[in-house]
Amino acid sequence: MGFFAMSIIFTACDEDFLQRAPLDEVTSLDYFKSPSDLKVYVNQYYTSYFPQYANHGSDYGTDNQIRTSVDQRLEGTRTVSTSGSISFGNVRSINYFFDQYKKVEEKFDIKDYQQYLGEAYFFRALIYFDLLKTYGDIQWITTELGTSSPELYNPRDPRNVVADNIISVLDSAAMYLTSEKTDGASRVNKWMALLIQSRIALYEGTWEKYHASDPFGVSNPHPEKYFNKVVEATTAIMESGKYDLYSTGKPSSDYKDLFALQDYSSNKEVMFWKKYNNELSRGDVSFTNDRNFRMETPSGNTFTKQMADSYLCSDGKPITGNSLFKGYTTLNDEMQNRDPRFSQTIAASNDVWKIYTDGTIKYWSEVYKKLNTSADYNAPGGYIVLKGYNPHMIYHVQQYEESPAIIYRYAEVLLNYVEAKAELGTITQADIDKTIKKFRGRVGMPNLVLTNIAVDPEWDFPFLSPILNEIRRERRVELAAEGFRWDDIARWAAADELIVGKRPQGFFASQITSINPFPVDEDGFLDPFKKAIPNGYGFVVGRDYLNSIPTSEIVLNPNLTQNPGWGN
Amino acid sequence: MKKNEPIRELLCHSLKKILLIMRIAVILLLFGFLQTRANSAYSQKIRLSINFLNTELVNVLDQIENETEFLFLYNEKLIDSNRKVSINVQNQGIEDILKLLFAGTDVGYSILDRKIILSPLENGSTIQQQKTVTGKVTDSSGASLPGVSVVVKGTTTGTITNIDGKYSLPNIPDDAMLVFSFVGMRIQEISVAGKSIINITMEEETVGIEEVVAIGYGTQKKVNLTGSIDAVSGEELQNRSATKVADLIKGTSPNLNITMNSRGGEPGASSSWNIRGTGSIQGNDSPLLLVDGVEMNLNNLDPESIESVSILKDASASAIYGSRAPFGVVLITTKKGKQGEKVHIEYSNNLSLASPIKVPSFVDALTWATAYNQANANAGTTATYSDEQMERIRGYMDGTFPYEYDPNNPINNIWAGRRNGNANNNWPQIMIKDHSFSQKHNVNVSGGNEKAQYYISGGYADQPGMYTYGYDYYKRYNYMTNFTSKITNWLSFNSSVKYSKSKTDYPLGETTVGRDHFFREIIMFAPMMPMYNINGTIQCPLVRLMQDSGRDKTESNDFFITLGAELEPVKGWKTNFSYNHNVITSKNFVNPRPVMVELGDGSFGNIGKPASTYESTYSQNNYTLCNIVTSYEKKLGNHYFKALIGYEQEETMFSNLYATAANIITDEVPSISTALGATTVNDQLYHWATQGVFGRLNYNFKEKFLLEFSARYNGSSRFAKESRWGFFPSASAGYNISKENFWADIEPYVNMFKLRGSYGALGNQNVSNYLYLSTIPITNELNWIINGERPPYARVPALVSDDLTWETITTLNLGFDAGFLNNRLGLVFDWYDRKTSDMLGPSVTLPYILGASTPQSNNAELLTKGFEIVLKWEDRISSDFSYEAQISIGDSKSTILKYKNDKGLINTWYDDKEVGEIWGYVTDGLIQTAGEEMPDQSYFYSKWTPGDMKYKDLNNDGKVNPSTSTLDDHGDLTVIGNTTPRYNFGITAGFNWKGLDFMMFWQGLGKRDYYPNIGSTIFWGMTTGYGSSGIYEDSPALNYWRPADEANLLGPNTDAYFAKPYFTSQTNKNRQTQSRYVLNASYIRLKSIQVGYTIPPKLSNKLFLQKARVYISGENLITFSGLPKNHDPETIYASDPSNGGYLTNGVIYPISSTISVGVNLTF
Repeated sequence: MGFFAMSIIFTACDEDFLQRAPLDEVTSLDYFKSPSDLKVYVNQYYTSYFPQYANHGSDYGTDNQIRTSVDQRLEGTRTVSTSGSISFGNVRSINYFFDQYKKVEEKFDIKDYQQYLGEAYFFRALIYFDLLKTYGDIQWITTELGTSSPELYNPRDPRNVVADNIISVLDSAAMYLTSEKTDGASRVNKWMALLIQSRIALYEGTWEKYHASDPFGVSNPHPEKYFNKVVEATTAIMESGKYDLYSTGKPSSDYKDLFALQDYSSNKEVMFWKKYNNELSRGDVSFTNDRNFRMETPSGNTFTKQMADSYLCSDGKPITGNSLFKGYTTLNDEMQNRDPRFSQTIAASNDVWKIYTDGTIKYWSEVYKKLNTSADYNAPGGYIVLKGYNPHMIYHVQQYEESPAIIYRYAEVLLNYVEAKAELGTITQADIDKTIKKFRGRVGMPNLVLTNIAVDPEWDFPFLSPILNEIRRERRVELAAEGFRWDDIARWAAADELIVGKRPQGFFASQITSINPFPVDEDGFLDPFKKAIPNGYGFVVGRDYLNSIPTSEIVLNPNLTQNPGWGN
Repeated sequence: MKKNEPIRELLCHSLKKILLIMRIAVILLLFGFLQTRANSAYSQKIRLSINFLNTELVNVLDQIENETEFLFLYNEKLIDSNRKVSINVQNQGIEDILKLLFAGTDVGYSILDRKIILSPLENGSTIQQQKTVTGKVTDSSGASLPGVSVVVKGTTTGTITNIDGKYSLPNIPDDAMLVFSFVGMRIQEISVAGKSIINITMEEETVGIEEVVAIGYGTQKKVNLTGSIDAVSGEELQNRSATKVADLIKGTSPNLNITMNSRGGEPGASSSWNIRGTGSIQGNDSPLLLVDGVEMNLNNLDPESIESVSILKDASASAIYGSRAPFGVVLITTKKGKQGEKVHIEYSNNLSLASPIKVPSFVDALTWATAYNQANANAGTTATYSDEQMERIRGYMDGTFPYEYDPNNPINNIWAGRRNGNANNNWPQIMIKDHSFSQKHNVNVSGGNEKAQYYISGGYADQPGMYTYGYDYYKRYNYMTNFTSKITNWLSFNSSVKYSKSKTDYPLGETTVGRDHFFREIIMFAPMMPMYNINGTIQCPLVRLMQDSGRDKTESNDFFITLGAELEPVKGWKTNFSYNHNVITSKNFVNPRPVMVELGDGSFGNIGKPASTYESTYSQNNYTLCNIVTSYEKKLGNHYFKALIGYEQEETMFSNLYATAANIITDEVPSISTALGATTVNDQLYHWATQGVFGRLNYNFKEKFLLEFSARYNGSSRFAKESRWGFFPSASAGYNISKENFWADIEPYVNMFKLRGSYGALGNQNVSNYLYLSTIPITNELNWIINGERPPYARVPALVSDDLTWETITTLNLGFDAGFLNNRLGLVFDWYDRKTSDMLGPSVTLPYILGASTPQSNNAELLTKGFEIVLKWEDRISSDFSYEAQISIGDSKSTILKYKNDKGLINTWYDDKEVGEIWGYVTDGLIQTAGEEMPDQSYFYSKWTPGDMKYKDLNNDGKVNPSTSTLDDHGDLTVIGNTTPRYNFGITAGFNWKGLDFMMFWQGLGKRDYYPNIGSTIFWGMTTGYGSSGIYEDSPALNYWRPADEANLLGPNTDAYFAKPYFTSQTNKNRQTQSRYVLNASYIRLKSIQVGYTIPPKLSNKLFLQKARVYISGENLITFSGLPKNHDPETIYASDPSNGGYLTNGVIYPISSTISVGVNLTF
């Protein structure tokens, strides 16, 4: 014991008795030494930037889908935030990578780490695209800042500068990332980078074009530059031949099935998806996906009549004045002779609702019968979401489903391509045949013929060319509930046509057999927000396309300016 | 503060020398344990050599006191201590020396152990008498007590007991009262009442001016203290039902603030400690908690083994601990055996019945549903409860509908019962039991002789919790020995072994979010949720979770040893070595598993984990503290000196290993080995160390002028090399005016008056480890599967500033101690001003572009001011009756003096901000008519209608808004309250009457504002949605605005407390932080009350008991507070998210009131 005591005291005289370095963390000096350090570092971003297909879809806050309460942005009741911040944590995080990875660069061949470098470029683009969509102009920073860096007081960089930077960052990403298709549930690849590049370029190109004369426009717009980039990126993907639409020759179910499969490893269309595995996740709540279980009942989530009306009749022509259209009396009437994607997106009462393991089958009619009897069965718009739902009960497990989630799919590549071509004015029937024809073909709809577009008196954008109207319709229909709609409305500056002063409608109210708690309009359609917003959405077109900058941030950085319409 | 190599060199050199001595000491210590020694009296053993020529007697006595352990007791008025004496003896016994000293005088002496009592010899001068009272005075051990003053009350007639303890008083009237007094003993008054022989036993005074209190590295007479030190006797903590020291000590000393943590009243939950209010806004400001000089987890200490507690509040008192104790010290001394103590065996127990307090109680389902639907209607959203469901709810309540849910539309989803059911279940009351039974037992043996003293104690505490379904408990086993052995006159050894084993066992509750969440569910799950399926099985998922979710078990072993030696080669020069080692090992087992819930439609849902999993964590914390302290004490005439220097180092090493595996083969045998699934392993390691040298210098002149200096030079591993060491000095002084001659006139009224003052600086090293180093956080298992696995991931390091150093805490303390009316009334007052400079704060509030939290740096400053008053009255009316009462009040108020916030943003700290400030709007009442005049409130929301809130337009710009939220321009925001607890107080009162004793203890806060968190259902009732709302009895929630024509069963309510609720975020427009809802959270609580009865010795002796006492006690029996009736003033704060609470106010394990009975037996 004495010797023990002595040894303890002797350590006191050790110079290093008070020198204690961390035992289970490495200091930054010891990190970024090998390619695997880079890999482990970029892994963090996978959980942050991939919005997956959500249960009941994710087009809420648009004209496609509604919940039981009015969306604040559309209602125009958002207020300037006084406190709070703009999230630049990941900007710093990715910049830190670029500052540090050079240590690896000195010692290793580019081949050993180019994938991770490519991913870093890819995520830098995603990080900035989120900021661009939310705030417009934003500071472009490429190195880690210190507390005394002058850049902290930079004014906002114009959005087109930021967009150009993002697009060039994605060129780098595409250059370094693997061009292997992979099983889609592994690391990001070159084709995903190109898809994102086309998405961002299309976003910026249309934004500059359609916001040209409003406060959100840029001073020297170059939409064509971006549209050309879209064409370039999408063409590369299309020509790679690695992807194609999912089709098994079953027009009545292929579209629906695509979103309800249990595995996408060898799927031609799904470029990127998220896998779930209970053994690996061990019930981590932030890492489960019980989509099928959640979608058994509408629980307040529905499509709108506006969405339903955009589906063409089976002859490829709009419903207005079309004899194929059977009216609204019942949902089944409404679905007759329509683009089959209608009934593969919205549940029909004779669709299968549940298939039990013992073979028992139940139909959605059971749900429609109980509509609005309780919170689970609440359906303000009437139209129940089917897209993304798999009726096999074996795949329904509260909390612990392993339903995979689609993140990127090839359809968007084709839609981006055809829209850019149309915006450039260089679209040909061949372009349509490479794109829209495939979507229509999958569900058995006639092709769109450039020279023979049926006039729709209800076109959302009558001042635009018929082809642009139809391409936008195709995009809305094909990508319904996949979370694209708000971005599309914003970049098209379409709120004045689609949102302002309007109220979402639901299906024909009289077909509800149980009690209907929702108001009904003079034509007999559900009008769920009649009481909440009697004058329709109060969306302010001079303000609500972007978020406000927190006022406390403007106090901190005098060079910061507020977004249009938010005062100051 | 720069590194100081020469000091270190010197330190190390001397250390190595000391080590040699220490090694010998340790070896001797081992022998010391084996020694058994004859019980020979100290006085016979001791040999002295003294040589004085013509010296005042007092100096000779002092010399003897200094060289031996003898203490002279005498009355200065009766013994002439200034008499000149000459003496020269070599190696003589004390008796012989005394004989020589007092030969030929009228002074007699008697030796009682180490006390030598001097008293006048009976000189036969007794006057003729008519009635004479005689008697003998003895001490508690039965020995005669000479020198006791016996005075007839109200006269100057009196005498002193002689050498045999006898006295004789002539001419005493029958109705006279005799007052017996002696230094260090309790004054006794006895009525003569015809008796002519009065024999009495004097009792030692335990509390009083001669009291000795523990201070840093030593003890000091309380009368000589110059710092602010409060002492609490161990007795105050005993015979109560609470198992933890923190719960027992709470409120006993002013400004010692002990608050519960987010686990609330859960068995085994921890507490937060603080002395004198906010000390640091970033670092930890809890005091250093020491048991016998070493830091220890107080939860693991058996309160029964506490002898005393010292609370060191100011800088001078804690300066000796330097950077370890910037915010005071709580010094706990455990019981030791006493010299000459006969063997004592004590047994005590406490059996208690606890009832939870303030468990919310739901309003009935129909009221609940009506209010909810109204919140939907206000928002224009669909009703939560449909008309059809309302019918069922009504039917169920009046008995016409027998089912808890619609059998035609049975519940088919585990959480849907709360939405679709129609039951009327009072979940909080169902899920929390009314009573639970706890027990505590303690047995201890103590004793000692001249050579060795021992104290051995064993304790057991068992505290089950309050869950109705499932169970939880806290159990603790304590073992402690304290042993001291004196080997030679100059060397003694001591050792202490403390061992505690505690076990907690809780249900996991919701496997995915933890058991705290259970309290959210029970108060926010609607009464409509069915308990049973129609087939009789349980459907309620909460019940199933408590029954089957798996257990969270922890077993913790706290093993603590102290080995120490004391050398005193020369009288007055003491050197203490102490080596302390503490190992806390803890193992935690968790086995989350699937919890199948049978649903109304016959199907099963799983609310547990997808598969049975097993998680195991082993952790070990090794703490070592070594110190060497040497002190020399000398009294030269009227001058007293004591110098102390010491060296101390401590080192902590923590490690844990965590492993988890999925797919356990059977839940009966959960282990990693019996798992089929993937295994993951993780670990955590950290360490820290400190070193320091310290010193203290005491001087006093006649105990009248008191001076003390102390300082510590301290180093900590938590700071970078350049800023690692700090020097922290302090000084204090006292002036005992009552010892001045001129005080004699005042003395009858004010016996004692001492002024004190202290000033000192301390460092705060209570910050995270490695804060100055930039580290890359690496985590296992990304929440994403890449190529079939969950890879590890790394993240960006936080910004750091490498020049971080100590926060420096400078305290000025001024105070006085006073004793009035024969010291029956005592008053202690302290005022302090404590400044925290170089306080950690963000270096600057920077624009978002930085993308990181700004690193901390030492640039902020905080000032805390306050006072403490303790007023105590103690009196003994007769030998049968004594009583006491004490009031103590403490206060603190903190202000930020400096904080880097150039823009003056009000949502963070700023210069001159008072800690605890609430900024908000001023309520202007509810809108009653559409279009009535009101300012533009569109900042919050675009639409305002009757029933909504109006705010005052303070800056008269026609608009209500926060403008830029800066100090210069804060729109209509203003400070509407302050959450700092003010005027914490404790009131104690008690009496002893014959065998009966009574004590009660009230504790509370004089002032505090409380603002309910926006999510607090127990206050607001309905929040932004049905899932996070709840309506309870005794809550103000239903007092919301309803129009004058309201037809629902709640009726109209235009003069309402709350605005109308909305089940959307729109409701927040009415819930801006505002003056109307600043609540008064002051309270007073009957913390403890106790009535005991000691069985008369005659009776207990027959049972071979020295003492037997039975008692009944209660805790938390009565509370008064300014809050709504369903709020508890303590749990409401513990559950506040801004205070570290889980989710929102009221989501917390309830605390209990208890009634207990117990016995104390001494054999």
